[in-house]
Amino acid sequence: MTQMPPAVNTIAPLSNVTLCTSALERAMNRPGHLPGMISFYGPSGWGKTSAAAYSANMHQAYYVECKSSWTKKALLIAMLTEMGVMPAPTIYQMTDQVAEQLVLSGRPLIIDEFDHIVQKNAVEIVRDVYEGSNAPILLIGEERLEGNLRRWERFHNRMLDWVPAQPASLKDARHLCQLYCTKSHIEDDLLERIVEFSKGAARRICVNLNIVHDFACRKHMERINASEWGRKQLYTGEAPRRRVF
Amino acid sequence: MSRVTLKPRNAGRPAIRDAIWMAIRNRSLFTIPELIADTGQKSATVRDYVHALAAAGYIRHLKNATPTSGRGAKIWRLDRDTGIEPPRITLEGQEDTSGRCRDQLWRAMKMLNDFDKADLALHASTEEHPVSVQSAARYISYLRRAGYLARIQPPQGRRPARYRLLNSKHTGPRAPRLVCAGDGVRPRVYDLNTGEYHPLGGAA
Repeated sequence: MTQMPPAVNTIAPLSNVTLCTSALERAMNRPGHLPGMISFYGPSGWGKTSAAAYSANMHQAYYVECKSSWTKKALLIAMLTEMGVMPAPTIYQMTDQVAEQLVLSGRPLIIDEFDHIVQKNAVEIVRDVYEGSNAPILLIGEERLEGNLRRWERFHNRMLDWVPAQPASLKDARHLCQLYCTKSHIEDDLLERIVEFSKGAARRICVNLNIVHDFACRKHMERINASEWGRKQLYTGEAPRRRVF
Repeated sequence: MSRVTLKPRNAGRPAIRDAIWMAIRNRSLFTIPELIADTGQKSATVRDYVHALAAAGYIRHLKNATPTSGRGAKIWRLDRDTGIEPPRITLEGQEDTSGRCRDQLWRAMKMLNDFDKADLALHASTEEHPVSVQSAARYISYLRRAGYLARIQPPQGRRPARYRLLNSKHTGPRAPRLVCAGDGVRPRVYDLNTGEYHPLGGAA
């Protein structure tokens, strides 16, 4: 044991978690005349869903993750299931049900992988739900989400804010290290290299922290720095280069 | 606008408070005997929950109304309808946070594609309601034995096993929980969303 763990271990200090939570809170506490949808977007692996898990638990949000095969009806049924409501037979009744439960419960809605819905033209359903409830809705999607939504002007206008997810920084890596590397400490110079190799993706940073931490534990090292790690492989997420024999 | 009806998915097999809350929402003006008749629950149970709801400000006693049924039974009105889920309050009307950690674990499970016990505990924790790795491991263990989780990667050396919540088990908002009711009844997992019980299978 090298360090005392903090009183409570949460992912709250990570930059994307802060961004996501504050965005959701902005939508929840907005003055009545402002629109209530927020979009939180960025490349995959940057920790958007992780961040949303924390925000959802903070505010008891309803959460659905869209699938590429979903139709409008599938989306509505998934939302109703998540709310514990028996779906009505028709699309418009289901839309009303979702909106009503959002209004009554006062809980926010988080829709992940929203890109799938944009491609399926089910965007209008989400707009109807929003119009019917004025509930805070957080949409999570890939980098191109903003561009894709431009086609839906009426939808676009109801956005309170566009929040781009941020690449993981050294500060984030330090915090992840504190959370995941409990038996051995990774020094800043090595963390810097990990951040660089991971190209900002929190998911890759976690993989790399794990690799380094396992190594350090095997060697019974209480701390490890860049020179001790040397030129050993780190995970970049890329397929290995072709080797010619 | 057409009146939309919110019927809970577990309406066929509601839990006690679900049944009472549903009856209250259906009537909006009601007396305790009416609720007892609607739900078939014990009168003490209904009365306790009604008084708790009143203490928490969800319902109000109408002073000048004439009773429509029962002998001089008080008439109550639903004041604050919070939707389909019955308010989680103690008998004194305080917010009941006793199941909060389990709720957070369940929500995190539904959101994470795959997780080990440490991941799950981290994503389920908030400052106000931290969740320990031990609680996460315990919850994983019994949900796995009840057939909710698949182990997608066995433990390897220092790395703990990774799990995934089956798609068919995204049953709803309420966290399934372990119940040990009655003598000689083996512990089972009770899913409030569907009203179903799941026996615990093989060792964790």
